[in-house]
Amino acid sequence: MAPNPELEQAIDTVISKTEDSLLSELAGSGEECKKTLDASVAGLELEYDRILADGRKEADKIEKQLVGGADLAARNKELMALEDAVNRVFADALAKIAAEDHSALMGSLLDEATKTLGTTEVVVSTNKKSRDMVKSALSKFPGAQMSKENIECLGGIIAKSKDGSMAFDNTIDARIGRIKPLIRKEIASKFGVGI
Amino acid sequence: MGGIQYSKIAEIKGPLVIVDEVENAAFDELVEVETTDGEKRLGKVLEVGNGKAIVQVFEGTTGLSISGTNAKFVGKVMEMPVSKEVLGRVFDGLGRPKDGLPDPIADKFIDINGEPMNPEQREYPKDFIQTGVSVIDGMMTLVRGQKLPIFSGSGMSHNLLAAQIARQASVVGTGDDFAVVFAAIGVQYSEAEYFRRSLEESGALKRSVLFLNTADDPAIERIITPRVALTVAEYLAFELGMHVLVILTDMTNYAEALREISAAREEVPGRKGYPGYLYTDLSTVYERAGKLNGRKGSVTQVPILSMPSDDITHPIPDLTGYITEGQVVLGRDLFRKGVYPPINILMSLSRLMKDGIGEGSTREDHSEVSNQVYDAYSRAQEVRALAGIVGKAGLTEIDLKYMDVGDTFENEFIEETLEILWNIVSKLPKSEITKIKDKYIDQYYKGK
Repeated sequence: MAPNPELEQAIDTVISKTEDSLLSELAGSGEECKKTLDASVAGLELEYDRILADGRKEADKIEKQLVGGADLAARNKELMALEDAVNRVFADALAKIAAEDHSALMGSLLDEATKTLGTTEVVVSTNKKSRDMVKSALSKFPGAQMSKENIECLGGIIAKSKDGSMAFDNTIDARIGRIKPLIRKEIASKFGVGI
Repeated sequence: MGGIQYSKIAEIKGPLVIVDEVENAAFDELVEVETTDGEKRLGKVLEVGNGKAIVQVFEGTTGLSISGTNAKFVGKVMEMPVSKEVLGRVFDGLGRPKDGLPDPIADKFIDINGEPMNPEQREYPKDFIQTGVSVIDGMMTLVRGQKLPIFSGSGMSHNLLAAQIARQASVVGTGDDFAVVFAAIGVQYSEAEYFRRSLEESGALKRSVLFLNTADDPAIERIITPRVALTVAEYLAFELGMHVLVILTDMTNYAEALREISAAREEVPGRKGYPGYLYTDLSTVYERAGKLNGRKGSVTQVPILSMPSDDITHPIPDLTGYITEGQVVLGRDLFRKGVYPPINILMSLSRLMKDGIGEGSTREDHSEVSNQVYDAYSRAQEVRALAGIVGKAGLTEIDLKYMDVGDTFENEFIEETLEILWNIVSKLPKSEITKIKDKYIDQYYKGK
């Protein structure tokens, strides 16, 4: 087939125009992509910072939670150990008190009880061991009488008005119970706590 | 001298036990009531005279009978053992350990009724306390030593807010120690657990003390709960120099307990059956907030109360409002819209805010931008009402901008406080910003 210069020129023109148009479109797209990318950099950086900040916040929160929890757990164990030690001191002290002779104390315990109740017309109870001591001390309190039944205690007495409406517990157990909360700190300080 | 045990019980009436043939009992004296099976309950003397003593039993009188019940008058008022060790501990409504640990080793035993603060010794509160809740910090700032109640309604998110404040609150710009004393009064078990877990999980428990009186605990215990909490707070603040935030929720349950005792005592009822001395009684709780001259610490109170039927004229919020220094009101409409925290700023106010904000405390523009937002939000409400009648199409361009301000305020005001306030006012043209100095507008305005 013989060459057709006009057709070829037309084809060249179309190709060249298409090429120009494509190149310019590509350049435009490239520029647009660049613009979009440039614009998204700031947004991405912000997002990146936000994610990092959130992560840090979360890490701080978890750290606080772990440290706080561990601190408390350690402190609670220390409290339990201390309480155990304080209770052992009390138990030892009570055993020593129980073994002691309280005869000299009975008079003053009775005196305190009758004064508190405002009458010597009382029925007095004590433990088996102290019964004789209390009996001999009762002679100083007119109207006072000994209860037929014994009570369980380390020592001391319970005085009850004869009509049964009032009672005063002056046993050693009750007295220790009253002062125990007050002296716990002193005992704890012997273990080096709260000094 | 105390310690006498009486066994003549004349009557048991509601939460009260009337003991006969009593001599030398004192008002407010602590009483140990022993049941027939040896169980011991605590109470206090409400009235003495004619050989009788009226004893209010904190743990209720269920199971008590006239015969076989003994009442031992201890000879002292109710005291709370206090020391720094109470931090991180959980107690019940009467101040007894609830966390399985022993009683704290006490430095002191303090009367739970507290000592009234000498008015002459009171220092005017003026230092900012950050709650971490933007709308409170920005629009109704809490100040150390202030008492700022939250008025809520049944079912609203006040407990969530209370726990958030307890977790996040701090004092800014000072190295002083900060502590939170949280007293839950008559709350559900799940709520009490939520408070405890929330503080534990955020690591805030070690600087907190929790007092939990749950709904199934005896109602009368609720009279004591805020008092033991405040006793601990006062010790931490004025003896140990800490800044203490006390959150009391829900004071309505406290007032209900007061009403129960008043009814049992056959007192002449006041409004809605509450005793006539409700105001005086509430003030003995609320007035235990403040700062003292020459002392480092402070006690700040955020009592929370749920208003029955959302009625702000109900005696409890009404009388509370007389005593406290402002109020934060939660709005039912905002709550229904899902806004958190649903604080209605138009009804809320912190009367001491002006002294705790501005240059040196928060930022120099705080007061003005806050006022501008308040003003714009108020206009937004009017515009919304107008739109309800004429429709959005009938609104002017500036009206629509105010509506936008209202929506943005409700939806976005939860992050960085002042910046968000500026974002909100910057939706308005500069000509509408009339409450802020030009120099702050030039510096912070974000509009075009």
